Formats: sequence, C-alpha cells, structure tokens
Amino acid sequence: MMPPQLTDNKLERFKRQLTLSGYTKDHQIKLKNSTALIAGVGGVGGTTALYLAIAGIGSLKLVHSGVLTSSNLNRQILMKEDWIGKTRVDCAKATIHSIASGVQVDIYDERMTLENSDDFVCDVDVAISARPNFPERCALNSACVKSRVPMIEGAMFDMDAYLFSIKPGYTPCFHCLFKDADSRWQELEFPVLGALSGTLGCMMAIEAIKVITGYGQPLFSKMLLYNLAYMDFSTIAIRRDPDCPVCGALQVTEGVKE
Amino acid sequence: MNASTITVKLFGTLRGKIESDQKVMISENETIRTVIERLAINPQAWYLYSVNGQHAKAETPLHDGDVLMIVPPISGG
Repeated sequence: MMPPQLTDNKLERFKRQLTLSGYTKDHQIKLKNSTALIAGVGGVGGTTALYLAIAGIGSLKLVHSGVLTSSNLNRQILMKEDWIGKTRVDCAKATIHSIASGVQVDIYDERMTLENSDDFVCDVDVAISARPNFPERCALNSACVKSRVPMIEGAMFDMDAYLFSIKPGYTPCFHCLFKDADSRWQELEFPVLGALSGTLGCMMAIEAIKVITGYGQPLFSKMLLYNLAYMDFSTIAIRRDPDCPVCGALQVTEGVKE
Repeated sequence: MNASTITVKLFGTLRGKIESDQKVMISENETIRTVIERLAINPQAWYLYSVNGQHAKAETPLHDGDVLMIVPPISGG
C-alpha cells in the first residue's frame, strides 16, 4: 500500500524541518503514520509528547495516573495553573490538541503494570519510558522486549540524566544494565529542575523520531550521561547480557552500528 | 615501581559519596569491586560500571590512568 502523501498544509507546517540535512518527505510520512506510547506525561515524558506532536507524529498513547498538583508545575509543561486537581492525561491531551490538533491522542489514567503493558505496546512503533519509579519502567521494558518494540529509556535525578535507546534482540535492554531496582528510590521525592527534565524530554523525542524514521543514528548500545550543573557530557558503550532474564532468550546478535 | 592512579566518577544518587572526579591510588591486581569497597561504596547488584567509557563488570582489573564511572539506576521522569 502506498503511504499517504503530505497535504499542502502539512508541507507548509513542516517545511523548516524538511530542510534538515538528510531529512526528507519520506521521513515525515513515516512519522505521520506512526504511534508512540508515552509512559509518563510529567516533566520528561510530557516534553517528549509535545515535541513529537509538533514534529508531526500521527498518534500518541499517553499513560499516566493521577491528578495535577501545584508541585508538578515547575516542570510539567503540558499543565496549567487552573487545572490543579484535574486528571493529568486529560490536561496533556488538551494542551497537545491546542498546539497540534491533527494528532490522534488516546489517554489512559493508569500505571504501567506487568498485566497491562503488553496491551499498551502491542500496536505502537516506539515506547517512551518516563515514569518516576522502577516497577513501571521494568514492566514497560519487559513488554517492549516481548513485542520487539523499540524503547527510549531516559531518567533524571537532581542535575544528572541518562538516556539510551533499546532495540530488543540487538541492544541492551533496561534489565541488561540494571539487575535490580534501587529499593531506596522515592517516587515523589527526587529533586528536579524543569529545564533539566525538559532537555531530557527533548532528546528522547529526537531519539524516537530517529528510531521511527531511520533518520540519523539512535543511541543504540550507547548510553549518554550528563550533568547540567557542570555541563559535563559523556557516553558509555553498553553491552547486552546474554543471561538477561528479560531479553537473553532473544537471538543474540552483534548489535547495531552505533 | 611507580604508584598507579585512577579517576573515579560518581553519578546520580551516588554523587557526594566522594569528591567529584576523585583520584584514587591503586595497587596491583585491584578490581572495580575492591576499589569501590575501599571507598566505602557498598557494591550493589544494580550498579552499572564503566572503565574508560566501556561497560565493565565488578571483577574488571584496573590500571593506571583508568577512568571508572559508577552509575546507579535513576528514575526521575
């Protein structure tokens, strides 16, 4: 089946990114025909959702439980002051549609669990891991490995953040790197500056666009780490664990080109 | 014999345990595990280690000039 072409309106809307070196209409059409699952619409995932929407993704599935509180407003850019007490996925959808009305947005006021994650990832092209706790990140990782859905893993603490992209069966999954969760992690206690979570959310959007469209080179088998207090950036070449209980059974391959 | 020195970098929730980019003297046959135990950082199953930008296991031997990074999982989103 021939992919749908871009309308004149879309060509005008996206003309500035269609002049990126190496980025073509075919990339844009792939983006338009794609769905991203965003697990978490807070400071990180909300930023990712916003930038995927304005870049022209076709569809978003937003998963995040709970209502907006005042202390969310230093970083969660999809939220507004007069929405305190409202369900966050409803707020996120309203903001996205006010900026990019053509994006299909499906919302779920839920947590990611081992029971529901398979259903969330089964029909998406990429998943964004941005929940503020390990059980939800691990559940999403397991579901993505099972369905071979690429996942963008990004997390922050204080002025530090890391980011890597997962292609199940080819690159390390979350569990290959971290064998267990830090049991001392406090979901609602981590220090965060909105500008830092925003940088991470933007980079996760870029990774998702690269994974979906084939543009550029995603952070496959490579972790980017940075500290914005000192503007210190580094990378680590990361390896699969052949004995990983989550992805080890997938055919071990050489890993993709970095 | 000249003393050997490595640089230790900590990330995320481990920051503040030692100085940033601390220089640490090592003796022969030291590994990541022995060094971090000496620094009173309790090795955890969930830590990711790298030596000179390469993913490494706790048993990896260390050499003069190496840069060791210890990365705990973080989950801020």
